[in-house]
Formats: sequence, structure tokens, C-alpha cells
Amino acid sequence: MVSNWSNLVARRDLLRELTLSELRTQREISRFGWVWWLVDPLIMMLIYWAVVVGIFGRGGQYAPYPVFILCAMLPWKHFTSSLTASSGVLRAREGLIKSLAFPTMALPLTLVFSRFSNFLFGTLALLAVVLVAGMPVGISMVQVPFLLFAQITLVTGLCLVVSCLGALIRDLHGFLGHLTRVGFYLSPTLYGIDIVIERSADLGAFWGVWLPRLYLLNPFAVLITGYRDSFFYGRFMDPELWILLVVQSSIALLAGYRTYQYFDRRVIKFL
Amino acid sequence: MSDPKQNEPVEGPESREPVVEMDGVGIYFHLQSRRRISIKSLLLGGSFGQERKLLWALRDVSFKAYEGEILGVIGPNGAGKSTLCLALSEILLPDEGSVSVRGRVSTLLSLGAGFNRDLSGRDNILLNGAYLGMRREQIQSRVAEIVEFSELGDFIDQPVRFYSSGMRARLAFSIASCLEPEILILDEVLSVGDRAFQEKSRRRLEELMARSRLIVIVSHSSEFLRSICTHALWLERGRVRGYGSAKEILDAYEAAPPTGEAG
Repeated sequence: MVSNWSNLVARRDLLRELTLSELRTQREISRFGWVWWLVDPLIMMLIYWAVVVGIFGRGGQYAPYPVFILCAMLPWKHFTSSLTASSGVLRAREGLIKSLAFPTMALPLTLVFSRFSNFLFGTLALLAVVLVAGMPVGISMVQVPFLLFAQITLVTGLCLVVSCLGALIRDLHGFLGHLTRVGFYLSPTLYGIDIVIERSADLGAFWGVWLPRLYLLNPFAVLITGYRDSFFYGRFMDPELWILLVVQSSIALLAGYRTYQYFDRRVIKFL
Repeated sequence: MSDPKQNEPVEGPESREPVVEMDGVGIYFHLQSRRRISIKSLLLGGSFGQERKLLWALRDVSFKAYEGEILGVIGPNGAGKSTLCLALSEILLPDEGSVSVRGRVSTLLSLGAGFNRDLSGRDNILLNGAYLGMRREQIQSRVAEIVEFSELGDFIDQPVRFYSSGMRARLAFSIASCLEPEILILDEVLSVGDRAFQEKSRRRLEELMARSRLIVIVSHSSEFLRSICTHALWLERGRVRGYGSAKEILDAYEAAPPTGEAG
């Protein structure tokens, strides 16, 4: 069955059952699966807090630093865990794909959805950390639902591309690990985009303008900035960045959908 | 799949529109596709760009099947029988020609492919129903019946991981036989569970077949096909060797000298 929009709508019950069964499986393995999902970003938060603030004595302008990095760790974790799982999902479900007629796009989609619900628990944890740190929770929070929507759109698009490539390229999985590691440091996870703008300006007028623009081509730079503006700074994100984020996530989803449709009927022969 | 409106005859009082129609269908596989592309070969050249050999699993397959028929598909291993089932179920799309199917297709190709081993039998009923295209309400209203038919008892709330293969097959059959198919595709005969269950499942399958508008059954056994089919399609090395009434084709199939396996 072709993975197009109308087939996915017709099989919306499958999307729901698959997402639920992902979550049930996780709950079956451990009662508080989403807590385990959170452990990783929380440990990373503690490590970077200890290294950057405790050892190097930096990060003063980003105090409280744990909140600052957690704003980045959580969406990043949703992205990387969905991406790695997507790269192997079609091969892992080979038997299923070859014996049942259903839009196979449901497989990568539900991976992203089920991890997204873990991420939602993560944002509650973030909110708790914000409150514990005694930071104000204000009107800037109204941005959060829109950021969540942009994030799921973006991650879905990227995962659709990667799920096809993963079926065709046998060593993609290992390669992705390196790629996301580089992506982590290229994204404003440990630092903010204000530093990127500052340092670029030091390089002269040309780089001062173009380097930040180049940097913001990374949609996660914009997304993380949005979460920080909402949870950390308590302000509204620059409207230009909002437009950029909408454009980036729409392109990602469209590209993912198109790529999947292109490979849809070819991929099964490569499994 | 072709546009169903294309070549549609004018509806007469007794229109004989084929329920399933294949027109010049060809499906190929890359023989080298097992050696998938790797990042290394993309970077270093390697085997990338090498000419790949094509294996046509089906070629020039054309036939029409009408309402009320039971079509048996026969042929040696590697003749393309399973590929034909995959094409009729829209799992594989043809590389050449067109397949047109008028009605809801249900396939019983391999039982239990959709099981998630970590989930309970009950959860798997919902999941498998969804894979088979049933609506949630539809499958939920039949959960009790499925549990009873499968004879799993309290095991239904245990993870499928702990089931014996017989229990898994029984559950899978119970779910799949709740389908309301218009076109039913069966790959090989389903024989599930112990003798009592086999008897029960055979009866269930007969009911299912009685409700279907068209049935396509793949089998190695011409004897079995002879007992139930109205028509037969004989495939050999991906091509149609004969198509017609079951008796005529199966007689010819049995009379033919055995051929070497192509696959």
C-alpha cells in the first residue's frame, strides 16, 4: 500500500495503535520507561554543569546553567533518539512489511510520536527544574505549544528521510552517531546564539553578518533558542526567527514526505 | 495500480467486470540488492555504479478474475506465486503493467507477522487488527470472540513472548479470521494448532471463503486446488504457462514433466 496522505488518514487507527504499542512496550520493559528516557539528558546536564561551571568556572552569563542546557538537551534527545531508531526501523520490520499491506510510513512516524510523548514528560521535568530554581514562569510560555509543533514537524521530516536511507545504506546507523555528535556541538547546546553573534562580529563586518546567518540555517539553533526564550529568559523569540523556524520545519516535513514517497516502492526490494 | 476508471466497460444489467485484473504485470528484483550501498562505497567508489542484474519474478502476467471464482495459483518453487500474492495485496507495486483490484483485499500470507512480542495477547489483538485495516471499534467489539476462539484463556494477558508457536499461530488465525474480506488471498493452506483446532479453523476459513467475492489461493498441491478451485493460474519462471478452468489447467500441470527450480 502506497504511503500517501490519504492512506495514512484511512489507517489512522494503525498510527494510534502503533504509537500506543511502542509506549506499552516501553512500559512493559520498565514501569517508568519515560524516566529512563529522561536519565540521559539529566546526566548530560549534570556532567556539563560540573565541567563548565565547576571546573572551568564559565557559564556565568547563563546562570542557572543547568536550566540553560536542559532547554537544549531535551529537544536534542528527542531528535537523536528518533533519528537513530528510524535508521533501522524498516530493516527491523522487514517481515511485517513483506507480509501485510499497510502504509509503511506509519513505522517511522510512530517512532517519532512515541518518543515525543517521552519528550513531553521531559518538558514537565524542565518546568519543575525551572520552578525549583526559582525562575519566573510567565507569558512567554505561550510559545511552547508552537515550538512543540515545529519540533515534531521538523523531526518527522528528518526521520522520514533517514528511514529510507537506512534501508538502502547498510552502515548508516554508525555514521549517524558521529553526525549527531558533531551536530550537538554545532548547535547552541552548551552556549547561546548570543555568543555566536559576538564572536562573529570580532571577525569583521562580513563574517559578523554572514556567520550568524549561516549558523541559523541549522533549524535546531532556532528551536533551542525558542525553548530558551520561553523557559530561561522569559521573553518572546525574535519574529524573524519564528518565520525561519516555520520555513525550516515545513521544508523538512515536505522533503521527508516526498523522499519517502519516492523510495516507498523501491525500498521493499532492498530489504 | 492503474486508474480503475480506465477501460471500464459500460455497466450492463449483468455486468461482468473483473474483480481482479492483471495486465502485463512485471516485477523485478535486483540480484545484488543484498549487498546494499554503504557510506564507505559511496565515499571510495567501490561497487557503486556497477551494473546490477535484474531478476524478473513476474513478467507479462495477464489475467482477469471475476466475482464468485476461486482461483488457484500453482507452480514450482520460484515460479513467482508469492510475488503474485504480494502484487495483488498491494504490498509490491508492479514495475511494468498494471494491477487493478475492485474491492477490499485481505491477505493471510504469514500469520503473526504483526505481533509485538513484548505486548500481551490482548494488546496484540488491537495492534494486529489495525495492521489488517480494521477500525478500532470493529476489532474491539470482537476481542472476546477472538480470545474464546483462540482458546488461550488466561494466557491472553501474558506477553506473546511466552507463547508457544502453536499458541501464537492460534491467536494470529483468530484475529485474521475476523476480517470481512471481499477479496481473500491465501498463501498456502493454513494449518494451525492441534487437530481439534485445525478442524475448527478449517470451518472458520470456509465461512470466510463463503463470504468473499473472490478467493485467490496459492499452493504446491494440485490435489488440494482441484478440490476447491473453479479456475487455476499456472506460473513458471515468472510467466503464465496456463490460465483457465481448474480442471484443464491442473490436468496439464500434472501431466507436465517436473521442471527444475528457478528460484
